[in-house]
Amino acid sequence: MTAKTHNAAQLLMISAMALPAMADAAEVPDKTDIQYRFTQYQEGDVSPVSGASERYSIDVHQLRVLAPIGGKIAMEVDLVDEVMSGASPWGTQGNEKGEADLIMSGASIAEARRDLSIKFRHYYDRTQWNYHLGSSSENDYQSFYAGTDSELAFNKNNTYLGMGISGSQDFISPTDAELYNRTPSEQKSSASGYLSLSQVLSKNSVAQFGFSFTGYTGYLSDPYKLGDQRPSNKQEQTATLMYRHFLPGPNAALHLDYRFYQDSWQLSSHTMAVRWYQNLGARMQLVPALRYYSQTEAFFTSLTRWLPTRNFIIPLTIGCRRSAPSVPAWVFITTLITGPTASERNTTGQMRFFPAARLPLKTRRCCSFPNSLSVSTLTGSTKLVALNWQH
Amino acid sequence: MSLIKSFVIMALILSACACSSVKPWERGNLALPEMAWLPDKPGAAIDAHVYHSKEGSSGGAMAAGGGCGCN
Repeated sequence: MTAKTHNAAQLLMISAMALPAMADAAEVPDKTDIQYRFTQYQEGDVSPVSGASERYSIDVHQLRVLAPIGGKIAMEVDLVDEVMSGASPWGTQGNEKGEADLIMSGASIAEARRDLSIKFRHYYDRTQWNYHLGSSSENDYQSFYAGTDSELAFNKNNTYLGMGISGSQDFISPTDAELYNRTPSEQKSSASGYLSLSQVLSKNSVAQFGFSFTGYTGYLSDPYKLGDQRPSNKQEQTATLMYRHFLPGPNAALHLDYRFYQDSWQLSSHTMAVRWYQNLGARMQLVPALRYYSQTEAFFTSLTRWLPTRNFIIPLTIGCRRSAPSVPAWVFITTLITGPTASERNTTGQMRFFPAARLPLKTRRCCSFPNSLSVSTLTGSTKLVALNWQH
Repeated sequence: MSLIKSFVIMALILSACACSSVKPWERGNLALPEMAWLPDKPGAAIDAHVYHSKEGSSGGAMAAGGGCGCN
């Protein structure tokens, strides 16, 4: 288990947000849409006081098929296949200088995860109603989830009301439980819902405000962290404001996103993101972005004093425009360089937990060209092998 | 509760903009793929996953860059 706890609420929101800003543009697909995406993820190495220094390397394959199945119904199948290897942080402990020393697992871990979900989309004149179910499987973690969401248009299709609910049930069975005195078997469940209101502001701008709630109960700790003991329930709330503006002059779209988050562990955070979708001619697109994140600590942890609680991330994406004429595929090359981020998993009692977010995330690489494979190098030893193909 | 209040307030503010009705034939730019809330759904799923593993908060819908991350 590598924190693969797929957040059912997250999936629900992502699914709902994948709708076009204009719901009346979301019509029944007239052909089958197939998309494949490969992402290679590499975390930077660390310098632990014990254990391995090599962090995770993960290959992610994503396959998405959206097909009309008769009437005004379409079926979407999403398959995610991950293969990962590397060492995992077990925790941190204070040293003589009052700093946190990292303890990593000794051997490299190799495991795989497969996530399969099926979604049915029902299209009506002013409404789209969807429901989905899926599961995520690892050798030590099994998750089942289901949900439904809908969007209603009114006010002459200038206002949209979105809503959704989802739930999940997870089964945790840590490996080497007896050897390392881990809990042999645990469960946890979650339930969530969201409400959103979208408003067309002008022929070039639209805004949305959303509110979501998620409740968790059960085993919420990480069995692989040393002495990790978190409360057995948690309630989260988010408020999200999103704005999209198209500028005909530069032929670009501006995205502004803000999220406020708070939970019953007394952790709150602010997340802001700005993206600029610059069209370059009819086929290419350049997308610089800036993301800012800050958070407070949970009531049962304390952030180490030298640990920044704020984080800037600057991703850059270049690729083909999805609407490019005569180009059935779209591509992305994305690089991501991020500094440390605060995590609530820092300290518990005398045992300091290594803030996972301090681990430098080298690059995130995604690239493709229509019906082709691209191989290149982005930084130093980081190789890029990525494909994103859509038909 | 404060979030619920804020939702109601924002809903009222957005509703106040409803007077500016945009006709269907004026929506070409709004229907562009780059104007979607999340133009790249698979990418957004990976982003959400990595941020969830690195940060103490999750949920909502934030279109942002990231990667596939695990602890």
